[in-house]
Amino acid sequence: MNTEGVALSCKNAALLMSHQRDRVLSDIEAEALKSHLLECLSCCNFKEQLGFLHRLACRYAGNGPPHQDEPV
Amino acid sequence: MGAGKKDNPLDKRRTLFAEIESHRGYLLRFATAKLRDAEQAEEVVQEALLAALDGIDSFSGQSALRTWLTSILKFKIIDFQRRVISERAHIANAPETDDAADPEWFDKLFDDTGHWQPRLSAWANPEGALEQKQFFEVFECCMDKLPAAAGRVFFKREVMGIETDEICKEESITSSNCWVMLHRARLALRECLDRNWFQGVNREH
Repeated sequence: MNTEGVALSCKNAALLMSHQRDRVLSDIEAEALKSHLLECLSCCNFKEQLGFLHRLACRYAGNGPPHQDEPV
Repeated sequence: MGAGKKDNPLDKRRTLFAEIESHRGYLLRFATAKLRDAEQAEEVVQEALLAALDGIDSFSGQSALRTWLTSILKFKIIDFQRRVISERAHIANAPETDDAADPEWFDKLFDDTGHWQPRLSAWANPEGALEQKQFFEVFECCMDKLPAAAGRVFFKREVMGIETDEICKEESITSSNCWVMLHRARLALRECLDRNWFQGVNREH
């Protein structure tokens, strides 16, 4: 492996972020993802949104939606 | 419902019945994820709802209504599966042709160099969306638009919280296939929520 590490495209970074929710990443994968996230705002947003999707699914399984909309 | 009638047990029952009914969509998706068959799911959910109405007095209110209904549904699904197995020796799972319509749709999210196109913006106040009933309706629509197998796998993983190993066994797919399916489901749901909710979040609903 070269010293610069593996440069990831957003496409591959997104795949790894998703995998991270389902399996443990290898050290190389984790390292490459970490350096990609340091310089990619879109992918940081994607990571946030994956986490939100998970919270949404948990909420959906739990109490479900609120019975009435909160006043905006 | 008029004021002062709040303590009327009949009214209370009616309210609870209506509340039970409001969970039907969730229960249907749960059953469909397990049974893979919309008609069978419908049947089992009907049974579960009837059982719930029957046993409403045993609902203590200690757990969330949805949790209680789900536990009834789980029993009904097991019951149903036993019944089907004894009726027929074997049930063949119809092969599914997912992603057939546009197998490369997820490639279009990225340009030739693998960058997002367009760039991904942060969502405004996503936690606030969790307090909006309409947002959950959008979420349900988005889940329904997923290819059947992807929808099932996503539901099992994220909503039911099942480990991928177990999902692989149930679905007879390899782990890497399962991970990729989950990834595509998440990409599609993200897109769908983005388009149908977050891009318009500053508009009045």
